[in-house]
Amino acid sequence: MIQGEFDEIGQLFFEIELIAANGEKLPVTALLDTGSTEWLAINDQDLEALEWSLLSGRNIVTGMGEASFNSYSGKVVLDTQEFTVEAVAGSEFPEIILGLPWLRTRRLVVDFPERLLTLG
Amino acid sequence: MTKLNSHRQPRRGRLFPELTISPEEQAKRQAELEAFRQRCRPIFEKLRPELIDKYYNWFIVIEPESGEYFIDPDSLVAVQKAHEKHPQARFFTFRLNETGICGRI
Repeated sequence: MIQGEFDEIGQLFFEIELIAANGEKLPVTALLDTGSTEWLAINDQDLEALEWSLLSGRNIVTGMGEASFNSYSGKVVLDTQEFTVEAVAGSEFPEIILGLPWLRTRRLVVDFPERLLTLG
Repeated sequence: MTKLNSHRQPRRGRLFPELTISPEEQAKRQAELEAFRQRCRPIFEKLRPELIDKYYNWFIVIEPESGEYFIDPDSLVAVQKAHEKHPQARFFTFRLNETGICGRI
């Protein structure tokens, strides 16, 4: 189980690690967005450093409407476990976004009054 | 390549703001991706009627040169099947439903 933190406007953040193709691990603070059906979304300009491999194009609905994105094979560490997931890349993502699929096998506890936020 | 070691603290937002592509280059890449989708879309439209009932909401990965396709309820598995058969090819993924859209962010 990992502990997350609320930001100043109540968004949910969890610390994960991204693993570059050369094995280097990069700790990041990712936004958990239960409105996203994708495992991971990342800004496409950050991908150059990670050197993840291209998988496919796909269309996704965003707040701006329907658009085409590329997806990459991304390696992520969450709660000490390593995962290979399909990561969607686009120029409009200002944060690393974790989506709904992570919750299929994990319990999310969000208790604002108690300032309690956990995933696992 | 940007040295990953330079960021020891977990950070929010863009990871490497120094890696910024010009708006023209971004637009060019996006247009190229849309053009690739336009090539794959008719193949999807042709396959959809025969597959949609049995495999509703499954993912379908299309290789436009051969017209071959790969399906699975898990998007990553479907695209891995496609890469095994065509290691050098490019693919576009649709979803076997009314819109073909894969999801939402």
